[in-house]
Parts: sequence; structure tokens; C-alpha cells
Amino acid sequence: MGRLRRIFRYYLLSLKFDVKTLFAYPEAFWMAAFTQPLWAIVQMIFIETLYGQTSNFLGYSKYDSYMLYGTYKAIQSLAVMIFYLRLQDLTEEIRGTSQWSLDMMLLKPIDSQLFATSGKYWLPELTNILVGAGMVMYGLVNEPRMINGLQILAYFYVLFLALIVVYVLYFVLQTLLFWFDYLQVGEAFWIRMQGFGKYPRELYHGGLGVLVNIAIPVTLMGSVPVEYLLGRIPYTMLAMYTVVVAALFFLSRWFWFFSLKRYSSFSS
Amino acid sequence: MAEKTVISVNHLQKYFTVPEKTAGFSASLRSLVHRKYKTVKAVDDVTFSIREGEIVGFLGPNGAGKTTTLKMLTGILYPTNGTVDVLGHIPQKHEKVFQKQISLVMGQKNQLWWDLPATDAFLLNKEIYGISDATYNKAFAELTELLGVAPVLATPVRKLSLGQRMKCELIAALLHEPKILFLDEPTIGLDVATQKRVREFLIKINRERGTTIMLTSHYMEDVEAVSSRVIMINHGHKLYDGTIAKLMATYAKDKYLMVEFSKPVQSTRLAEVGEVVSSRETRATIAVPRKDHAKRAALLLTRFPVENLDIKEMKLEDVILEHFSK
Amino acid sequence: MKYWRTFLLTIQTELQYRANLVLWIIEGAIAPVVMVLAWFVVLGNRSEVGGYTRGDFITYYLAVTFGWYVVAGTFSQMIGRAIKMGEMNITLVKPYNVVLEKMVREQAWKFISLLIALPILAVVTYMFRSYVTVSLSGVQIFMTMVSFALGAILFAIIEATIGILAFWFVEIWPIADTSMACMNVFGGMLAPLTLMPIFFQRVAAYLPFKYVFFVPVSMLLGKGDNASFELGLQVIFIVVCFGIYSLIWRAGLKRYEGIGG
Repeated sequence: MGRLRRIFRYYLLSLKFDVKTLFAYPEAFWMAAFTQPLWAIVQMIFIETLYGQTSNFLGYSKYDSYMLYGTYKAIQSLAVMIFYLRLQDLTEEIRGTSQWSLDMMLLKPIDSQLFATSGKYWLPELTNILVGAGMVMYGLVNEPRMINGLQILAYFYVLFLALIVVYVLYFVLQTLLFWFDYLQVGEAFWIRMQGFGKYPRELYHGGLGVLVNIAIPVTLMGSVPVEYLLGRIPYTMLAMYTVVVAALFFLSRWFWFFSLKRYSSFSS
Repeated sequence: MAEKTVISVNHLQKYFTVPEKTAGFSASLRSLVHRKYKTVKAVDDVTFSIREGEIVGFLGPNGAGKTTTLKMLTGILYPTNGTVDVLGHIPQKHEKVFQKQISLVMGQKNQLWWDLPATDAFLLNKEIYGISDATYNKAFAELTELLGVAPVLATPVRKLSLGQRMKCELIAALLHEPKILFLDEPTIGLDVATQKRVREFLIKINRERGTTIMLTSHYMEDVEAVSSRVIMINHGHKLYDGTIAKLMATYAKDKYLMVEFSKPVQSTRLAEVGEVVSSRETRATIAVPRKDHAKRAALLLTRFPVENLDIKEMKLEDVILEHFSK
Repeated sequence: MKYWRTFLLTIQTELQYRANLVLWIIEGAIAPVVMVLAWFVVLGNRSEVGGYTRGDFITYYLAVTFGWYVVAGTFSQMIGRAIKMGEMNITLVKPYNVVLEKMVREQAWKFISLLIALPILAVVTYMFRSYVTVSLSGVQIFMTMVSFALGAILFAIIEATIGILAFWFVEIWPIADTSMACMNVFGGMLAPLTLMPIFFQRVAAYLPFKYVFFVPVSMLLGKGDNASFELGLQVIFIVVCFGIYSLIWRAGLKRYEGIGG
């Protein structure tokens, strides 16, 4: 219990400091806050283009698609806000070119994975989260629907699972840096993989379908939660999703500790 | 008075497998398909133990294996072979109980958050180590006063000078009152005044708190000024383990006669007195065996027109250069 | 020439990161694949939408991907950083243009990507050859290649312009990001311009982005109506953009010297 309290206080303090920095450099915040929703606009244009040629996309109406994309955007931005900075820092830290050393992190009496991959917040993503939530509202309001409490619960539960998936994906890509030395392609890959989550899961068949719907279920970011919200998918699937996500999380954690062992902080 | 052994290292080995760097365009193409690796023996069979309250200097040239050994003592690296025991724990297990009792300060890497003022970074450390408010406030007051950093505490760490940053790193490392403090090249890049300050600080906390200190350096002055015992290491091997005094007595076989003549003397003639280290027209430095130095000095005085004669000890640096750097 | 050496050296360092290269290829392929899948769904039972058949969509996105390797290579951030680090001093003192150097570096990197991507692209094209709808005459092929080259030049000028804005702005990434978003929308990377809402098509005509990607790709698909006219427009935009770049460059250097770098 004491340990949990310690960790909680540490994260709270970190957040306080990040907010303090925000007020110290507001221009950086506003710049990021205004340019990042651009990509949401780009995707909205694509949705409009697609629906200019059809009114039904795999069972999704235009407003369903807005809800899908809004959910996706909100989760993606949440992951970025909480985990992106630290996960990105890992690149330099693993290579040993950072001033802030991975070695030092291993020394602290706190779980190394927790410490190395979280604790610094990218607050400008807040605008993106708001944009995503706004799109979901827009989609909900423009079409009459019946939604019960259980569906809403399932929706948020799937969002929680999706957050873990997005985190684990970047986490594994960064852990691979212990084994291969490669440039920012890890991050680009992370963003692209998420890209599969922008569309309904039925879009993907065969091998690709298994990959993005089950193995690395990025479709949990948008398609699956919306389908739960609209009651279009059986609750039994939740069990499968939970098992897959838990497996991914523990595998990635094992991989992290295994790589740390092999870790060479060799520098002449 | 038997003091507790806090660090015990037995036949420690660390071998690294490194890819061979290729040079040239065609070699780069080839490396796309087939990579060659080689083994680097960073630490090769090192054994020693350290008792509570000691200050031990780990001395050796760059690439000798000092930093690697330190990293194995703190649990950052896993040994290839051999055992490490620190405070009754195996460092590689990363037990929280163990981690709260040690601290590591590295001269070239930081543990302080870059964007925050030092005080904020200290507070974050406080939460991580679970330091009580009382302990923290006392340690904070003491350490900031000892090192004189009060004026810079509100400045973001990245804006501090190297000296100020090192002082803050030391404070951060000692807030949780560790039993052992490890330092890797702590004075590197610092100006002379700050180096002195840091050395005095280390001696002080060792004396007042009983903190065991182990530091690596390739600066002679760090080791001479601070530690009572020195371990020499090169090419991953331990070459010497003992006090500095004994090192000098064992290896500093010579004393130096620094002589000034009233008339120019040819250096070839001086060879009968001893080994001529340097000579200019009316000045010379001659190395003579320690046992015989009085006799040789007398010889010099009778045979040559000596105006001034000084008898000096060999310096630690010279000893090391002569006996340990091959 | 000194730039040739930079070119070779960059290729050499890049070859060291082989996992890197393979991943970049895979990464670049994902988005277009998904877009094509989406359009297939939209097509449903229809044979064409807005004048684009299944084959057209595949060819279109293949061409956009290919075009990305040939044309694009973002070096605006590199220039921005160079300005921050004071590298511009070199340009002021020696007969060596830092902007040109960054551009060359990026070209080397693109070149490798292209080399590695070409066989893969060839394989993919062969796999979908029944879909691929490219039938051009010799003249058309020539004009298409010219168009791609012009697109590349235009892209480089845009990147360079964004880069040198670092003389004024502490951070240029918001501008670079906005430019990339515009490139996606108005350049036709997102979807064929002719399928997009009319509003965007109209705006696109007045912005340079269309002439980087969409124009050469349309030519490749044989959908360019008036090839020489489009080429002419590309040239005009190149001239105009380069003029803007030169003005900004001169003003920027003055400001830089004034501040002392």
C-alpha cells in the first residue's frame, strides 16, 4: 500500500510540474494545441469524400464514422498525452546519447518499466481529446439512437483496453532498440499501425484482419467501442479481447526485463 | 575493531560482444548481409572487498574497466561471471530495499530532470525514495548549505553551469541518506575551485555520516585528496589494492635530486650519481634509489659545484605512469 | 564536388541501419493499402466511382507511394535546426550553402529508399498487374517523368521555405505540420482530388500542393487532360515559390546577421 501511495504521489507531483511548465511557456502549448487537430480535419475531409460516393460504409452511416473516428482520436491523444514523451525519450536513452541516462533509472526504487515509460505529460494533446470527444458528440446527436448503461460501460472498458494496446505497441517498438539500432521509423510505425484503427474492423480480411483485429487489436481504438455503444457486437467478445490485451501487456513487460538484462551501457 | 564488509566482489568478469565497425563503401554494403562481432573483455577477474566507512578510489586510464565495475556494483549491468555482494544484496535483483541504501553519481550523465528547477527535481526524488518530510527537510538544509547552492536552486537544471549541476546531483544523491555512495568521474570538466569543494564535501560526509564512498577517476588528485585506499585497474585487471602510502613505498623506489649548479655541468658526467631525468645547463633532476639517496646526494655535493640541492619524492602520477600504464 | 561526398557519406551511414530501411518500406506501405481497401468497399458492386475504377484506385495509390519516394523528403526540420545551431555561419563565411547541403542529404536518403522500394514496388505492381491501368505513349511517359521531376523541385522549394522560417520562429514544426496536412488534402495524397468536395478542389487550384503530387500522378494514370498546360502551371508555381523563397532567404540572412547568430 505504501508503495502505491508513493507512486501516486510521484505522478501527481509530476503532473503539477508539467502544468507549471505549461504556464511558464504558454506559446508552446497554444501552438501545439492549434496545429494538432489539423490531422483530425484531414480525416474528416476523407470521411466526407468517401460518403460523397456512398451512404453506407460497412454498415456505418456517416455519423457512425464520425463517432468511430472521434473515439479513435480521443484514445490516441490520451495515449500520447500520458506516454508519448517518456517512450520517445527511450530512443536516446537506450542508445546512450541522452544526458538523462537509462542507467540512472534502473537505480531508482521504482519499477523500471513504469518509471522509464511514464511520468511526463504532453498537455497540448488536450485539444485533440476535446476534438475527438466533440466528433463523438456530433455523431451521436445527428442520428437518433437508443443506448443503455451497459453499452456505455462496455464502451469505456474497451477504451481502457485500447489504451493499453497503443501503449504496448510503442513500448515494444522502443524495447526493440535494445536489439536493433534504427531511426525514428519505430515511432512512424506506431502511428501507422494505429491508422488501421480509423476504420471499421470489417474492412480487414484474412491475415490482415487477424493482425489488426486480434493479434495487435488496434481496431479496439474506434470500431469495437462504437459497435459496443450501438449494441452491434456480442459481449462475449470482451472476454477474448481482455485475454489478448493482458497477454500483450505481460509479454511486453517480460520482453522489457529480458532486454534490460542484455542491455549494454557500454561506452568508451 | 572488526568493521562490516559492505562490498564484496569475487572473480568478477564482464565481456561485451560488439559489432565490428566497417569502413568504406563496399564494406558497408557487405555488412547489410553479414555482421561480424568481437568480444571485448571490459572486466577480467577482479576481486576485492570494501568495509563500512572506507573511501576507496578506483583508478585507471580510460577504458580500464572502472565504470563497468561500478555499474555491476549498482546493478545496472549483469556480470558475465563472478559474484557481487553489496550490503548483503545482489545488486542485479534491483530490490527496492537495496536501492534505497545506495546512490550513484555519474560525472557525465544526469539524474536530475532537465526542464525543472533543482528544488523540483529534489522533490521528485523525495517521492520516489519515500523520504519523510522531516528527513528531507533536514538533509536538504544541510546539503545545500554545505555545497553553497542556495542561489541557483530555482534555476532550471539545464541552465546551470557544470559545477552547479554537479553540486545539485550530489545533493539529490544524498537526500535519502544512502549507506554507500558511488561516484563515477565526479570532477570531470569542473574548474579547480569546484573540484576542491567537491572533494572536501566527500571527506566531510564520510566523516560525519559514515557513508562508504567509492569513486572512480582518472584524475590523480581526486584519489589522493579523498581516498585512503586505492585500487588500480587497467585492461580489466586489478593491478594494485592498498593504501596510497604503501603504493608509494613499494613502487616509488626513487627519490629525485633537484640540483642547481654554479657552473654548467655536462649531463653525461652526472650519470655516475644516478639516472638523469632532465638536465639543462646549470640545472638537473636526477633519480636516485631511495635507500641510497643520502650517499648519492653526498656524492653530488663533493664531486660537483652545487649551489642548491632539493630532495623530492616521486609523485603518484609518475609512479602510475611508470608501473601501471602499459 | 563536395555535395557528392555528402551524398555518398549519407548513403553509407544509412546502410548501417538495415532494420531501419526495411521498416520504413513497410511503414510507408500501410496507409495507401488501407485507403485502397476503403475505396474498394465504397465501390461495392459498381465498376467505377467518379471516373475511377478499382484498377485506377490501386494505380493511384501505388503512384502516390512511388511519388512519395521520388518527390518527398522532409528536410525543413534539418534546416530549422541548422539555423538554431548557428550553422548558417558556414554559409555566410564559406562558399557552401547549408540549405543545399540539407537538401542533398535528404536526396541521398530518398535515393536509398527508392532503391530498396523499387523491387518491392515492382513485385507489388506485378501482383496486381491485371488491375494496373497504365497505358501511355512514349511522349506521355516522358512528360510524366518531367512532371514528377518538377513536382520534386516544387516540394524541395516548399520544404526549404518552411525551413528558413526558423530565422523568425523558435519552432517551425507547426508550420511544417500544417504544410504536410495541406499536402495530404490538396496534393491528392489522401484521395484523388477530383473525388473530393468541390470546395477543396477549387482551393487546391490556387495552392502549390496540387502541383507536387496530384498533377504528375494524374498524368501517370493518363487522366491528365491537358498535359502541357499542367506542366506549364507547375513551372509557374516553381518560379513563384522560388521567388518567395529568395525574398524570405535574403530577409532571413539579414535578420540573422543582425542578431549575430
